[in-house]
Order: sequence, then structure tokens, then C-alpha cells
Amino acid sequence: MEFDELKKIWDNQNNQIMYAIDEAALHRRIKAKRDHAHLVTNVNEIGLLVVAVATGIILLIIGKGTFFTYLSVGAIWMVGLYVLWGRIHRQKRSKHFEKSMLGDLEEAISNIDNEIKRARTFVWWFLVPALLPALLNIVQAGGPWWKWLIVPVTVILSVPLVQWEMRRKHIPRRKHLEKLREKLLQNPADQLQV
Amino acid sequence: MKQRYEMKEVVRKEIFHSWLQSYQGILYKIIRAYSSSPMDQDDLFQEIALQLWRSIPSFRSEAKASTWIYRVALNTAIAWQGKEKKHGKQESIDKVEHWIYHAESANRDERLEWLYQEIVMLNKVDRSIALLLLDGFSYQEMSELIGITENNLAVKIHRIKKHLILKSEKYERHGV
Repeated sequence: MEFDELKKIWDNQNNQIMYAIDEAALHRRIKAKRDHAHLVTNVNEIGLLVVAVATGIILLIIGKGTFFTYLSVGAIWMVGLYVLWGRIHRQKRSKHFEKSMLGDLEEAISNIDNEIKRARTFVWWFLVPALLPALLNIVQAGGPWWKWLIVPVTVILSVPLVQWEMRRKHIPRRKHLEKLREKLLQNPADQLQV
Repeated sequence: MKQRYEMKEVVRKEIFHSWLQSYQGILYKIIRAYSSSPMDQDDLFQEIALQLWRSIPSFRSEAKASTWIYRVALNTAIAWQGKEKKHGKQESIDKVEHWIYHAESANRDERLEWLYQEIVMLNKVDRSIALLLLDGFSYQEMSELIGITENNLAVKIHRIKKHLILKSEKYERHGV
């Protein structure tokens, strides 16, 4: 065969649809990721609020009504207020995201960022304000030495747990979404050459 | 956050869909020439589709869309093939994000199947040249797309034509 004949064979191939993008499926997946990130954030926020309110009430019931009891209750409720303030801000922020594939992806990343930030600063906004008054309360009330150890042990156990959750769950999930966002946004035309 | 997207997503989507619709033949040929199994074809299609989506903001309307698509798709296919060879069947985000499906495959001409087999056996640069040559690109366009001089290209084209003609004679005589 001459080359022209080869070209004729080539040109005769029909252009039937071989592949199609199911864009709706991709968007559904991204929405599911956004909703998952949203759910995790909601569970954490509401969980913290419930814990703060309930702990305060329990302290009021079982406490001895000393200055340090009220200080502990005040501190734990302040933590609750801080969580509530953060939640209201986050919800306001989420309204600014576009209702699109990229917007949903940005929202999911923003929610995960929120969780990462919360985990990183956990010691300062939760442990110190909540446990310091509790420790003072225990010390002031006297009692066996092992009771005094409860607070530092709680700190020692909770910090690595929160960090573990951040490293094993939030950061990998963020990287995954970030990679997907980059793939959708970047331009490859100048990057690759034969 | 809205301002961060220079091009409206709706415009980008329109361009993307029109490219996929109008130039699916180009994509199909490149995917066939650079991947063999249906799974690999799926994978390469996903990669090319994503790269095309990403390339839309840089596309200038004075350029020919077909040339642009050829450029992105060929570069992606070559990079994809290198990556596949290097890392094997690595689990990538694209494989997780299955967002394509196959439509009906075309009734195929046996001679065309043979021609694809011969193209697949060429090295990756010659494969690109063969595709562009068969699709009627000029020497200048090919040279720009592939990034080699026209003289060098002419030598390669001569060799590829000679090779394919020789193979076609064997095919006609012996059916192989």
C-alpha cells in the first residue's frame, strides 16, 4: 500500500462517541466530600458544645460551691462560647463559596482547614482554660495526691490523641482534595513537552 | 473566593464540552495509540480530559483548537506512558475519581486495526509524528507541536512512511 492509501484507511475511521464525561458524577463525589467534611466539623463543634455545657452543669451540681468551682464552670462555658463563635463565623464564611464543583471543593478544604487549626491550637483554647481552674479547684480542696494527677494525665493523653486525628485524618484528606483542586485549576500546556 | 476564578466556570464548561464533542476523534486516536487495555484507555482518557480542562484558561482563540488539543493530549499521553512505565499501576487520584464511562465502540475496519497496531509499535515520538501525519498536519505545525526542527522531522517522516509502507506490503501479502 502507498502512504495515501494508509491515509484513506485512517480517514475512514468513524468518529463515534467512544468516551463521555460524566461530570455530574464527579460533582456528586465532590459534594459528598464537602458534606463529609461538613459533618465532621458539625459533630466536633456540637460535641464540644454539649461537653462544655454538660461539664459546667455537672460541676455546679457536684461542686462545693467555692470560688474555684465557679471559676471552672465559667472557664468551661467560655470554651463553649468560643466554639459557638467559631461555628457562627464558619457558617457565615461558607455562604461565600460558589455553588459549583470548585466552590464545593473549596468549601470542603476550608472545613478541613478549620479542623486542622482547631487541633493545632487545642491546648490553648481548650486544655489550658478548662483544666487550669479544675486543677486549682482540686488542689484547693485538698485530698489524696493521685487526684491532682488526673488533670496532667488528661492533658498528656488528650494532646497526642487530637494530634493523631489531625495527622491521620484531616491532613491526608486535605492533601487529597488539594490535589484534586490543583488538577482542575492548573494549566498543563507549557509544562509538558515531547 | 469567587474572584479567584479568572474564567467563569460556566464558560469553561461550555468550551470543555464543545472540545470533547468536536474533537473526540483526535482524543480517541491518541488514546488508542498510547494505551492498550480498556482500563488503561479509561485512565489515559481521564488524564487527558483533566489536562484539557486545566488548559482552557490558557487557550487563545487565535490558535487552532485542534492543534491545541493535539498538543495537550499528546503531551499528556507521552507523560502518562512514562509515568505508567516508571510506577506501574499506581493508585492515583484519577483512578479514585471514576467519572467517565464508555460509549458504544465503533465497528472497526481490520486494516485500521492493523494500522493502529503498527503505530503502537513505533517509539513515542514517531508515534506522535505518525498520528499528526495521518491527520494531515503540516510540517510547520508538526515541528511546533513536537518541538523538533523541520529538517529532523522530514527525516523522521520519510523513515516512518517507508516503514509503514513496507509493513503494509507484508500485511497485504501475508496478512500480518
